[in-house]
Amino acid sequence: MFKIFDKAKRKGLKAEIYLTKGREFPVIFKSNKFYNAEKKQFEGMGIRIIKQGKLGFASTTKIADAEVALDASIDASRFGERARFTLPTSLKVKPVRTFFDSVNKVETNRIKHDCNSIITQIRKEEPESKVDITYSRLEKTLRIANTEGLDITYSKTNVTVYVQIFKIINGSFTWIYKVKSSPDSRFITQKDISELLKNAGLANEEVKLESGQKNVIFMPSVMPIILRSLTLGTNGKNLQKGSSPLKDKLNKRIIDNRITIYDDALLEKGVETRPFDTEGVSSKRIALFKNGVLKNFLFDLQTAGLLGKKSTGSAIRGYNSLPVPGVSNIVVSPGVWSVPDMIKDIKDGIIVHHVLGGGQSNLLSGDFSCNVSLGFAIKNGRILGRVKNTMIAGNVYDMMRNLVGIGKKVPNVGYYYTPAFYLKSVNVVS
Amino acid sequence: MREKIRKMLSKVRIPFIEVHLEERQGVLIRYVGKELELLNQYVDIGGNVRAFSNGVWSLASFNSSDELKSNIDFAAKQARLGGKGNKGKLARTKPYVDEINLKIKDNPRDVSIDEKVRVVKAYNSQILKAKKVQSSRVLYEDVFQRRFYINSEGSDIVEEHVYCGIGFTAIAKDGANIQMISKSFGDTSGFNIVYGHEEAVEEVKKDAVDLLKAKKVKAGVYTIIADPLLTGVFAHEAFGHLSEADFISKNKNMQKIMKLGRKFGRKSLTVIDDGTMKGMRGSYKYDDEGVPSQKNYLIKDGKLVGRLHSRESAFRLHERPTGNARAINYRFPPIVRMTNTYIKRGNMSFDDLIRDVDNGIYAVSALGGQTELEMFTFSSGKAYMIKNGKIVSMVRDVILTGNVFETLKNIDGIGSELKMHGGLGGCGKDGQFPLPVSDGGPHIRIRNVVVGGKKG
Repeated sequence: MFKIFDKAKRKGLKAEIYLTKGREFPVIFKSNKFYNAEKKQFEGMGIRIIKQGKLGFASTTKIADAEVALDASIDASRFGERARFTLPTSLKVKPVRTFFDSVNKVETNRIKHDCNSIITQIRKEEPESKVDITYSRLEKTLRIANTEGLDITYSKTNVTVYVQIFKIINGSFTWIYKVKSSPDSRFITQKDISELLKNAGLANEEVKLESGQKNVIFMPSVMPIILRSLTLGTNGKNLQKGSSPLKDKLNKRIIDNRITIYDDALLEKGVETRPFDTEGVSSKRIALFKNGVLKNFLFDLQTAGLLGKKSTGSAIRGYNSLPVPGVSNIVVSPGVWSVPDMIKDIKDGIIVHHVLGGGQSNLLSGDFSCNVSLGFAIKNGRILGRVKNTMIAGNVYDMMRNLVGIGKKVPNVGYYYTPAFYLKSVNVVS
Repeated sequence: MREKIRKMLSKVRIPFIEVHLEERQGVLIRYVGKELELLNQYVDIGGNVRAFSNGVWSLASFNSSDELKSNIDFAAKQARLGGKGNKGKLARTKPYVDEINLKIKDNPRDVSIDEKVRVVKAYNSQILKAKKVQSSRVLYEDVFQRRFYINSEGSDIVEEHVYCGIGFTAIAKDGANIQMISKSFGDTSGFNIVYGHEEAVEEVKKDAVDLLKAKKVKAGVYTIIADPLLTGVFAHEAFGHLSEADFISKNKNMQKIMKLGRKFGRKSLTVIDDGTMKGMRGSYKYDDEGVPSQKNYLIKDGKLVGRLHSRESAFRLHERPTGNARAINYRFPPIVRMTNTYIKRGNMSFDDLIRDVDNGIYAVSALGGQTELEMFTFSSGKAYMIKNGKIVSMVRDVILTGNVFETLKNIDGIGSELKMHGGLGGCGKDGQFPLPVSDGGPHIRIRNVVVGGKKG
C-alpha cells in the first residue's frame, strides 16, 4: 500500500488512505427457530488526494489494486473542490478502550442455547407470538495513513442484539422489539424480557383516542428521531450550506434549560467511542446544548476550513465515501422523573415506544411527523391500552421547549444515550 | 474458475449449496449547492457462499476469493450442524446454464467522466439560477455489475447489468421556512436516461418556491387522488411488502389473513409485480437463486391471486418459485423482494376522477414511504386541495397513513395512463438498502385516507 505513497509523492501529491477490515458473525433466529448463522469478512480502502490544492477520491475493495484507485482519485481531482485543510501529521490521543476481548470469546453454540431459552420463556406467556432474534458480534480495524507521516490504527468490537415479538391482536399486526448495542459482550437480560412481555400484554387492549394537544412521554426507544433532528441542526455541513435552522444562534437558548446534550467520542464503553475520527483528528467530548443553549457545531477538516473554524474530531465516513461531519455518542443528561411518575402525572395523553415514518418529514428544519406504531393511551394516571392509526406532528424545536420533565434512567439506543422525555402540548391526530 | 467452483461444490456433503461472485464498477457524482461533495469511481468485488440444510441456512461472505474453499467448508458445516433435528426443503426449480452479456447502446462505461460531470453541473447550475432557491442537490449514479451464480444443482449463470440514473432536488428558503422537491430518472437502459430533463428541473424549481407559500394541510380524513408516482409508492409500500411471502410463510395466522382468493379491493383493482419488463430498474433475467423472473399477478380483479417467493417460501406454502429472491450485494443473503410493481390501468380520465371530489387532495409524488405491513405511511412531495371537483390551492406537509386492508378497498377510481418510475436508490428491507426497483401506476382515487398535518 505504501508503494502508492511513493507514487503520490513522485507526482507531487498529498495522499491519505483510509482502510477498514473486519469480521461480523450474525446469528439469526426467525419465527421461533434457529435460521441462519453468517460469517462476513469485509475490507475496503478509500484514497483521498490533494493535487494542486484540489481534492480527489476513489475507493476499492481490491486492496491489492490500490494503484487503480490512486489513478481514479487523481482523475477525480480535476473536478474536485479546493482543499481547505492540510492532512494531519501527528496525533495526541487520549487513550480510550474500544476493543473487548470478551466479544471474541462468545461461542455460537452458547448464543443459540441462550436464544432458545428466551424464545421458550416468551412463548410461555405469549403462545401465539413469533419471536425473531438477531445476535451479531463484530470486530474491525481502522487504519489511517498519509503522505505526511501519519499512520494510526485502532480496533473495535461491537455486539448488537435485536429481539422482536410479533403477534396478531384482533387482526392487527403488532411488533414489540428491543435493540441493545455495546462494544463488549452483552445479552438480553430478564429485565429486557419482562419489559417486552409487559408491552405485549398491554397491547392486547385497543383504545380509541381523540385528536388534540396532549401530554406525551417519548420513551428512549423513540428519542433518536427527535435527537437526530437536533443534531442535523448542529451539523457543521448544514451550517456551511446555510440550511441549518441554528445558523447565527450560537450561545442563544434554543430549547428548555433543563436539556443538556453532548457529543462524546470518549465515552467509556460508548458504542461510537474512538481515539480519533476518520481523518485522524483526536476525539473530544463536545457540548452541543448546555442548559438549552446552543454551544457548538460539529466539523470535519474540510467543513471547518471552509468556515475558518477548527475540526471538532467529528469526521465520519465509510471506506467508500469522503469524510463528512457526523455524531459519535449522543449523551443526554438525565432529569429527575421516573417513567411511572410521568404516567401518573398525565390526565389525558400517550406514551410512545415505537414510531413509523421517522425520516419522512424535513427533519433538518425540525418537522416531525410520525405514525405511532406502538403507543399506549394514558387517562388519569393509568395506561388504558394501545392506540392505533395515531400520528404525532409538530416541530422538534417547539416540542423541546414544551418540556415537563426528563427521565432519570439513561439506557442506550444504538449510539444515543438518552432518558425518556415528558412533553406537553404535542399535536396528536387520531 | 467456474469449473473449479463446480468441483469444490460437488465434493461437499450438504443438501444445497451455492456460490455468488460479483464484480461491480461504478461512478457516483454528487453536487450540493455549488460544491462537488463526492466523485467516486469505485471498484467493489466480493462474493458469498450460502448453504442450506433442513430449513437452516448459513452464509459466508468475503471480498477476496482466495479462501473460497474454507468459506465453502464453513458454510456447509454451519448449515449441517444447525439443521440437525430440523426439517425444511427448497422448492424445485430447473437449473439453468446461461450467460447474459450486456447489449445496450449507450453503456455508461464508455462515457467519459468529463461528460458525466458536465451533465450534472449543467442541471445543478440550472437549479441554482433562481432567486428563492437557496440550495440544490444533484446526484448521478451508474453501476456496472457482473454476477456469477453457481449451485450444487447445476445452475451456472453469468448475468450483467447496468444501472444508470440522475436525481435533482431544489431547496427553497424563506427565513426559517425550508421546502424541497425532488425528481429522479433511472433505469437499466443505458446512459441516455440522463439527458433531456431541463423541463423537469424547471418544474422542481418552481414547485420548491411555490411550496414556501403553500399552507400546511389541515389534518383530517380526505379523498385522495394520487399521481402515478404516489400510486407506485403506495402499491409498493402498502401492498407489495405484504406480498413478499417470506414473512407469511413462517406464520400460520398471517397465512389465514393472506389467503388466496380473499377479496382485497374492488373488481377494478389489479396489482402486478413484473421482473421481465425491458429496461426497467427492477428487471433482471434470473434472481439470486437462479430462478427466472416473471410477471406475477398479486391482486387480480380485486382478489388476492399470488405472492412473491424465494425457493424456501415457495416450498413452505406449496407454491411455485416466482423469481423474487434478491440480495442488494454479495454481503447479504437473498430475501424476497419486489421488482417492478404497479397498479394496472383502468379507464377513467383524470377529470373523471376529480369530478366527484368535494373536499379532497391531489397528492403528487412521494418523499419515500414506510410500512409495517398492515400500516403504511408516506409523505407526498407536493399536493393541492380539491374543492367541488376543481384543483385549487397548493398545500404542503401532506402525510398519508392508513391501514392497508381498508385503504385498498377504498380505491374507487383508476386512471387510464400507466407511468412507471425507477429513479435512484431503491427499496429497504431487513437492513438491505437500497435495492433497485421501480413502481408505478395510473392516477388513482382513494376515499377516507387519514392525512396528518397541522391540527384540524
